[in-house]
Amino acid sequence: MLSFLDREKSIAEPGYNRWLFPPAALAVHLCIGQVYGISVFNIPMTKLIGITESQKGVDWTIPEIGWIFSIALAMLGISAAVFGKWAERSGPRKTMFVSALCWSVGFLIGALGIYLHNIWILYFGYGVIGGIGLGLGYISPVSTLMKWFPDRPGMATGIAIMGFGGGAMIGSPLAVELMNFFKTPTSMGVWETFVAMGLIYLAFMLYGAFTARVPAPDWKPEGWTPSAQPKKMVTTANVTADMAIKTPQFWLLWGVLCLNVTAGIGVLGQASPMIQEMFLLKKFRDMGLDEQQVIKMAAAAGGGFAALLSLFNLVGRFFWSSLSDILGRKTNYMIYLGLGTVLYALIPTTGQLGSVVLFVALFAVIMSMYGGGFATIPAYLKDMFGTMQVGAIHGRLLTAWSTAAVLGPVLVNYIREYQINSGVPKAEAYNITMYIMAGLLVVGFICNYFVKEVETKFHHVEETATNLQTQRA
Amino acid sequence: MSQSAKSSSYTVQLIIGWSIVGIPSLWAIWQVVVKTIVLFQ
Repeated sequence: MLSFLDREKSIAEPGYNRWLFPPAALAVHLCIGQVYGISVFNIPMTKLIGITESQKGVDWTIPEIGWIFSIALAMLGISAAVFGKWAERSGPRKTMFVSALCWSVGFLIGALGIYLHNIWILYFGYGVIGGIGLGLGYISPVSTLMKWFPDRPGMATGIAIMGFGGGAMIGSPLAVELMNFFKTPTSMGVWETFVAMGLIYLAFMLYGAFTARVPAPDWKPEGWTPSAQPKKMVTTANVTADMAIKTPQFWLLWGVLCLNVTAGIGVLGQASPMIQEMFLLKKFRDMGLDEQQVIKMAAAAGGGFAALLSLFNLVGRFFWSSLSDILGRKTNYMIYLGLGTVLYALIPTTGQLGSVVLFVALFAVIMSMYGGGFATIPAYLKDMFGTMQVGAIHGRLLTAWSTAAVLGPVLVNYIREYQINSGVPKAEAYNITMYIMAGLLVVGFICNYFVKEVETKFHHVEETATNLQTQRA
Repeated sequence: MSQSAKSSSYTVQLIIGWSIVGIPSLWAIWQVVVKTIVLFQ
């Protein structure tokens, strides 16, 4: 009955326009990217019982609610790793379909948990089931995009992964609008919003699934032939996912991704409080406003800064990944990690100079490279390991992201708390965090430096009659 | 279906597909622009 989901049934007809596939990929990524906007529910979820204010001992606390995001991100990495080979075999249509069901059912079960005020149901729904939808949805279009665009794999995957960055930009204001619509004197409107978003995302993701097509095995873009001259650091062979994890290259790239994401998440969480404490509070106090107005305006401007950074995160995914088609993946990561180190270390200087414009500019570039790091990695994996199982290999590599998503905030919060408890002034505590994050990028730079071509012993050899004869001889 | 009819069909699908993902994206970018103005006021 569901045979239309099979890979064989989704092969594109001759003449199919390959630019039809990116919208299918974007439809999925724009929905699952909502996970980075989940914090918009934090405050409302602390008042589900109290409504006007959080009722101590009854309502959920912020640390408890924070686990929803951590569980979802952990499940993203685990499910991408565990189901990567299945996703590769099944093709994008089936994978996107299952992802759509998991992501939307995750919201619906989560809504039940919110309605019953049972956080474990919410953890299971949004965190576990939704997290599986995240992992499958994230990897579902990647290898197919690189097959449709063998001439520009960085640009192609950059488009999809840009969608993930855009998902929070759509999801956050959408959630706010829906909560305001559903809010009543006895309900914060949260469970209703979860139901609505679950259904909206299901519709969009099913559109993506049903319009997804894979190219025929021998398809090539018109007028394009693979380069006769083998490019350095771009393999013409293939490595299976099981073999890839035995190579040093996989683990070096795992380190690169984990460290770039840890540093990025570390500073992203600090960005809004930093700009408020370093610049905005003083600016609004100097305007002669009373303290309550100062705090309110600084928070609003801080929110604007966070929104601006999300835009640079999104644009960076497309820009840097497309640029990697010209510069090469290793060079791109040298820029992310090398230039990133310099910029992170310069952030404290902008505070000393009192320059909010320089502060914003540095953070904007840092965030663009944070996004670029995510978007370029699939093409880097293709260059190292070939296209045969690149989706599955990408899935296994995403455990680096899950690790960073859980460890990053813990590390930053721990460092900050330790310093403040040791008497370091708040503004200075930010500075030391920046230097430590810069240090992580130096380690990432070293990991990237040592990436080289995969040895031939790891290459996949097709079992042909000739090979079998050679083996028997 | 003739080649030109197929080509027209793909053009229509392209417009629909990119609109489905483009319109919400443009709305989101507008939300960011509005919030950013507050930052620089």
